[in-house]
Amino acid sequence: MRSVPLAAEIRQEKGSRASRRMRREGFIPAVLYGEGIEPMPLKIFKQEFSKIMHSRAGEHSMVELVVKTPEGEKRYLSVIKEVQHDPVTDFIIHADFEYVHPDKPVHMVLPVEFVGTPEGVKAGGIFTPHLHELEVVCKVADAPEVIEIDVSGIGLGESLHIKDISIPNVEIHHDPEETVASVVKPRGLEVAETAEEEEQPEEQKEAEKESEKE
Amino acid sequence: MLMPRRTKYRKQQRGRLKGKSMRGNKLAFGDYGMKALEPAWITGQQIEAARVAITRYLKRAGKVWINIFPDKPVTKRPPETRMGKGKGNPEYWVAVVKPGRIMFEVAGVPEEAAFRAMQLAARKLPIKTKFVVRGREGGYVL
Repeated sequence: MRSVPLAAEIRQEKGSRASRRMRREGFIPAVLYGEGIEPMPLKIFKQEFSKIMHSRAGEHSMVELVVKTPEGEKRYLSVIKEVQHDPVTDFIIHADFEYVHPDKPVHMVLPVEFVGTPEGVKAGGIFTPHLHELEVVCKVADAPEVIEIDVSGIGLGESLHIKDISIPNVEIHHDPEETVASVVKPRGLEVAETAEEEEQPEEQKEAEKESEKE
Repeated sequence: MLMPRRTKYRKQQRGRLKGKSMRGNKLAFGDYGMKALEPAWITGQQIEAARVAITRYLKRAGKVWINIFPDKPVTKRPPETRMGKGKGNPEYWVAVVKPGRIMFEVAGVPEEAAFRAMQLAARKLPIKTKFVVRGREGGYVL
């Protein structure tokens, strides 16, 4: 995965009041931590970070933090560990970055993109994704931006499991039996039931009420 | 109507509705959802009405998730009774909803259909809500 540069400054002010002031000025409070480095409170530009968040990999992007220090610029390769949003407005309120070593395997969360139209959908089923992201362990260079999963082979009533997916040089940290996506039968697909309802117009309303409760 | 099968105690105190929803504020299952923008008690009847509105509009296509459950009993005193003589009888059940809570989720339908279904469902609820989409910040007020 390609890393995106992001300018950051060391944050001197701490606490909720200072953070609120920072957000008003167009910054986001953040923190950088990881193996071999001291935790570093940072502030990053909101606009720059929003651009990264709207890219294809989104909040699973690899970021190269360019931190301004009194000794000069220092670069830290990192993954976005956590992004806190306001529950109502969805504005970003804080970000966590984890420093990663380029040669060591890293625990990451990568987004999943489903490719193709499942056979079951062509037969009238509903495609239901169960996992939208996967926890993986791999080297930074081996990590794909997005995990593309071909779902064209899933039939009606069938599921795709973790054991069916293989990504080169990437270890998936999930139960092999865990369902990734499935194609389920829609509730109104039964033809026999609707035919019966048409024959019995008196009971139609009752049957509708009962089925809706389900 | 939605209500718990059995409870430990018949009556509850009212409590306060402070703050934002710190959990259940992200889409968990579907691609589209309805987010509360105000705090409220949502009754079982309102949840059911909203669910029926979504199901009817989508003509049973797609999949619908209801993320809230009315597990709080609300009591009411009988009309024309004097004060005292103990707390009233449980009348209906409510779900306690704080701003930010995702109440309904939908998947397997086009965005326009999901939006219209949520718009119809929002009219059954006593609060302002917004339509949210997976992977997109913000949302549209319903």
